[in-house]
Amino acid sequence: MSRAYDAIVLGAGADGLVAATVLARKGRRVLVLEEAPEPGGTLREIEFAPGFRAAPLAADAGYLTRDVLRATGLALPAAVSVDPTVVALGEGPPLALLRSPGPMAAALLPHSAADARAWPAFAARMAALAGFLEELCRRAPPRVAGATLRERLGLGQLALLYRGLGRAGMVELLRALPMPLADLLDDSFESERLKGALAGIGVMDVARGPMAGGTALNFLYRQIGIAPGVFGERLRLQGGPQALTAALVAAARAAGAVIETGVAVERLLVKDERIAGVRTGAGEEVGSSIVISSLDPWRSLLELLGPEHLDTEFIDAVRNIRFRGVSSRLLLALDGLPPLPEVAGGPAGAWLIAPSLRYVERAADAAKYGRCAAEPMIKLRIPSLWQPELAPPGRQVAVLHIQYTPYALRESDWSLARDAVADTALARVERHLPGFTARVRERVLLAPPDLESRFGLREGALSQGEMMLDQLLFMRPVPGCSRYATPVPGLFLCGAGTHPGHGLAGQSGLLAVKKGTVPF
Amino acid sequence: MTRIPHTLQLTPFHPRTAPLIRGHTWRRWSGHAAASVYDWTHEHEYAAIRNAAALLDVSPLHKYRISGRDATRLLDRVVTRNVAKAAIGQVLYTGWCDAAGKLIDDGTISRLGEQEYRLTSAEPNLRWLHRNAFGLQVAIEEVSQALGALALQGPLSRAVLNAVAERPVDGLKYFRVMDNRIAGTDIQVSRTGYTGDLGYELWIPAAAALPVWDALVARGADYGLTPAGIWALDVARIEAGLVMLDVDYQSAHRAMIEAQMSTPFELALDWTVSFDKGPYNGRRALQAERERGPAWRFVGIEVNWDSFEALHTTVDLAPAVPAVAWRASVPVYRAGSQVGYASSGCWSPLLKKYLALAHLSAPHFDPDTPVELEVTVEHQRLRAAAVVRKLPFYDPPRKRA
Repeated sequence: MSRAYDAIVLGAGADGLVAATVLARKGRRVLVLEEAPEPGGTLREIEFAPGFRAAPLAADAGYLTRDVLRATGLALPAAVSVDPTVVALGEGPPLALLRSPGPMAAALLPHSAADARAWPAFAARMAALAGFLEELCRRAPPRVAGATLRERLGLGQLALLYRGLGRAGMVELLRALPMPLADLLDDSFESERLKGALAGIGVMDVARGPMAGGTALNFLYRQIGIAPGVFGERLRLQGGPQALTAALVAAARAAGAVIETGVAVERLLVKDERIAGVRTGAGEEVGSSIVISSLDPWRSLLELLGPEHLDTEFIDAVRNIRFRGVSSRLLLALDGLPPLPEVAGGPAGAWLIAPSLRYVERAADAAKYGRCAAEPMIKLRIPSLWQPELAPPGRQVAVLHIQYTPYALRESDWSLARDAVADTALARVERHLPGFTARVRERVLLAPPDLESRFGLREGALSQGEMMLDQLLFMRPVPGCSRYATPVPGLFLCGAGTHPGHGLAGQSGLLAVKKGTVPF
Repeated sequence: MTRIPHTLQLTPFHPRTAPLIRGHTWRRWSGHAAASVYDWTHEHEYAAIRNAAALLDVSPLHKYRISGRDATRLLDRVVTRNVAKAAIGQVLYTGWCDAAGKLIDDGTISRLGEQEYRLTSAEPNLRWLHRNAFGLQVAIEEVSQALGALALQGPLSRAVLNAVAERPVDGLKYFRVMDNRIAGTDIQVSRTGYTGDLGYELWIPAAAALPVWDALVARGADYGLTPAGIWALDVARIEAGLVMLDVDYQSAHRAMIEAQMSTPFELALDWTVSFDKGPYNGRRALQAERERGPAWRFVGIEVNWDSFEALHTTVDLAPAVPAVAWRASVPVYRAGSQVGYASSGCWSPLLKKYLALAHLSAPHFDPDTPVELEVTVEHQRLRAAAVVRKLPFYDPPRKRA
């Protein structure tokens, strides 16, 4: 071994960097190895055309719990509050999702008076349910059997919080967890435009339509950490998602962690059935008795560790994790601002083509049968409105989130399908925003296989494991391995593939190194 | 598509074995019709195993051909023995375990080439092999139907083979396999068996099964070669102390509760558990068990004849011994308390002893420990004095010589 550390962290995304920072702050010598040329993980910006940059996978910085902020001493830039967060496009006038319940109710009036009345209560209920989920996410998942006294006390706390939801709230939570999002929305609203928009927000990057069981939970999960009544927008920082990466890197370095990018790890080294270090693609062996991998569980366990160190049943469980990336990104270099609908307030965070529940569900149906949606759900954002530095002066950058475009195509092949997906998406945008395509100078489509190869996301899935009820909490990534330790002593997992999953930046990294999980 | 027959499947030797079976005493073995006994009783079929040569159709065994770059890695990941250390032409007897070190099945591995093996097993293991082959470059082929198998067992089995096969088998050592030819058919001969005696197993392409059988029977007549069924085999394997799946232990994949499972140590298969190789299924659990010692042990039980006889004479009966081996759970006691159970037993015509194979709990399993075996005499459950014996009961030098 040419060199050795107390701990090696794989992946310099938010989770890996938080894990590294917390360990380094405890005085451990920590090395972070990142395969990509720059840190950031799914927050990472790329230059997709000369002079044009965008973070294809991150519209915002997600959500940072107070625990992560406290443990890392993160110095964040100021937050930016966009209003409306999302403008829902469709036939007839657009519907703007506004932050304040009063103006939002007023915006809903032309669509449905009943929905306008129902809005404030809906917003409050969703916030209450998401608040309970946040408490679940702040904790390591409960142990199914053999919990310690301390853990049982923690469960007791959760039980109290659950009771705090009140009788109606407790029932609603239990009802909502396995429920189709469509039913949750149908309970409250009648406007197709509103339901379509909320459904689109809820199933973003999920391989199911809103009529599939369990999607209400996806919707609620996305509300964690957001102010009541705000939908489709999380923490937006000055400087964009990259600013969070910069802050995380600065915190890690300040604590003494070493970050090396452009270094692929090829194999975890095991000696006497314990982790002994890693071997890089260049052949260097770096020693460490602790490795914390924020890569997906499949990659970490079956490719880097190797099945020979794992029991057959455990391998089967890892092989059975569903990933299922279904969204593509179309990165567009625009020669100027495209025509956008007039709505009250400033420029919107995003424009959404999800005009009805049925529309979104039909788009999902295609993916179910291995085809790309002929009428996809699309979310358009123009990050250069907030970060002019992403494009040359006078130019703009747009990112289309296109869903559903499955990783595995049944009748085609991604080498043939990319252009068709881009054409279909642009035609759909043109229909709602006439004159848009005339602004497009360059386009780059990142289909799920591209997200896999460029961002290390298995099957192009941001979640690193579909976020459905059976793959959450103590079943994430697999039952019996949800508390970050793996069957091989010294190897720990964090990242989106572990609890609490995608969207809570750094939380799994923090939980993985908390006392009692990583032995420090 | 494979059609599932609504009757038992027939082995490749069925056209020859069917006319021999006098009492329609077929039984089921892995979905195949197998002979319990050909004649009215099995005495002279057993006698052929011990005194001449017996021919047994063992085609219902499950057989897998495992080949490719990672064939050795797959087997070493699955089984408890060190496969990498096996020489080409060597045969290993081994069990294989789940993650908890509980036995799933047992069988033999023949190393046919650097990257080619044949695995035999009592139960289907194709799915288990495939599950364990994840990430490995290996081909797993089920050859159970394609390959017929005959066991040629007994002190004269070598002479029979030398008379029939193109290549002499004198140089074939215990637990080795060789290529050979009989009746113009390429076959393989391994010096293995389930009788604890000198013996061979022949691996024959199913299509050429009958000419091989005919050649063996024609030349074997001079040596007293006798087709034998399972009843005869059962007595021989109890004398040899060989464990049998579904009789002496349950597969971890079939057991309903943990108490029904067994480890290799509990079945006295310590010698098949290797710790000088890399990780494999159950290694961690087996390591721990080795350190603390097994809670159970598979041992021989020898019934005290005077005691057994006395239980009968009190009701004016002559002692009746089980001629056909029994397969049942029979309690074993020591000093009034149950300390285990026997799972197979029979009268040994050769040793003239009533023997049983038993599972005894610690610390009652040491050789010569006095115990009692439950026997039923005239509907009364009684206990006969017995003693713990080291296995095998019968181990003739010719087995290995």
